[in-house]
Amino acid sequence: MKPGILVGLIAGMALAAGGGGIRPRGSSADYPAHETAGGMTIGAAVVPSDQVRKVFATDLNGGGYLVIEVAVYPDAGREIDVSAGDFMLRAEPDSETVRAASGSAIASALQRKNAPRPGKASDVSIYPTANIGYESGGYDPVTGGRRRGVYAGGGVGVGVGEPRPPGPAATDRDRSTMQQELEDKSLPEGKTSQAVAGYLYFPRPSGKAKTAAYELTYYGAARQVKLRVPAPPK
Amino acid sequence: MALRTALLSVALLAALAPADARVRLGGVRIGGGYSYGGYYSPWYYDPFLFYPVYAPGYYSGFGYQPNMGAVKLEGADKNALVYLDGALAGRADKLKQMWLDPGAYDLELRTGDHSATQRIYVLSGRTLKVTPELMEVRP
Repeated sequence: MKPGILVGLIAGMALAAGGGGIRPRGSSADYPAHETAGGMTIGAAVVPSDQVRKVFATDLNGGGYLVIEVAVYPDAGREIDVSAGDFMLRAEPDSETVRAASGSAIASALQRKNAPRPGKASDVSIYPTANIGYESGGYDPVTGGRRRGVYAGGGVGVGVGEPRPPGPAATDRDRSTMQQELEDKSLPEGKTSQAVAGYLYFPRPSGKAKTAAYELTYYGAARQVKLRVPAPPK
Repeated sequence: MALRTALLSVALLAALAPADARVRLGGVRIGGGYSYGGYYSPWYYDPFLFYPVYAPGYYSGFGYQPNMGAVKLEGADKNALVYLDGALAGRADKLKQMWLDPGAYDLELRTGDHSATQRIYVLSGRTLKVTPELMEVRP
């Protein structure tokens, strides 16, 4: 086997391990924010909440995550090492800086959130029951006639301190499915000389002021790249 | 002695098994009207051998069951054939809503010579809406 093919195969396997990602847009200029430095161009866009709901089965909005679509375009003939851990996010004008969360961490957190909580001793569950039927057969001992007609009954069951029912996406299988989805769509990691794109998931930065834009910083090997990514209109 | 007892048990179970028994392997339910004189390992599965292969959930009619998630097809051609993981699920007009086990599936809609595919992720208790506009089209 030729060495070039072998290197290509190894690079492909390394990229596959970090997730498949998504198709990059035609050029970096198609992203609302883009910056060139250190032999590559980075493009980024905040994915609006309604779009996140359409694209992901995993409830990232409910979990408090911000999704950013990131594309990396290496210069011709240049190979770069992409890692989601090299990206940091900060909401303007001032908030703490957060690192991108991994698919497994998000899936575990969401499963825990949806898992059934143990019931408190003060919790009371009420189960109303009702039954309606038609009776035909047997003889009335008083009148001697045949008994027939509609009957109805009801009752109430009471349970104390019972566990609450599980929410949606609370099973172990759900957790692995959420993890798989998030990893499949995340920015592919590893060495590449081709343009790659994918999503990064950040815990929504806290801040009292209304966020006009986010500052995405890439701490690559060559130099630091800062992008001002505008927040989507509400 | 133990080995002989185990072999006898397996032989007895095989003799008592109904002729139309279904085997569930790897999430795909396979119904059989086929006969084969040779021997196959119970773990052996080849979709071409057991053709036709139907998508997971086919035999239960994709109906609701606890801990399942729903997939809603919206705006799909009513004559399009729906495939899940390469196995036939049915026609789009009969499958406006499918209930599936949680997991990732390759959903494909085939109309004539065209097909559109999408990787879908089903979560229990959730409804996933799939529209052909978001699917990848293949000529």
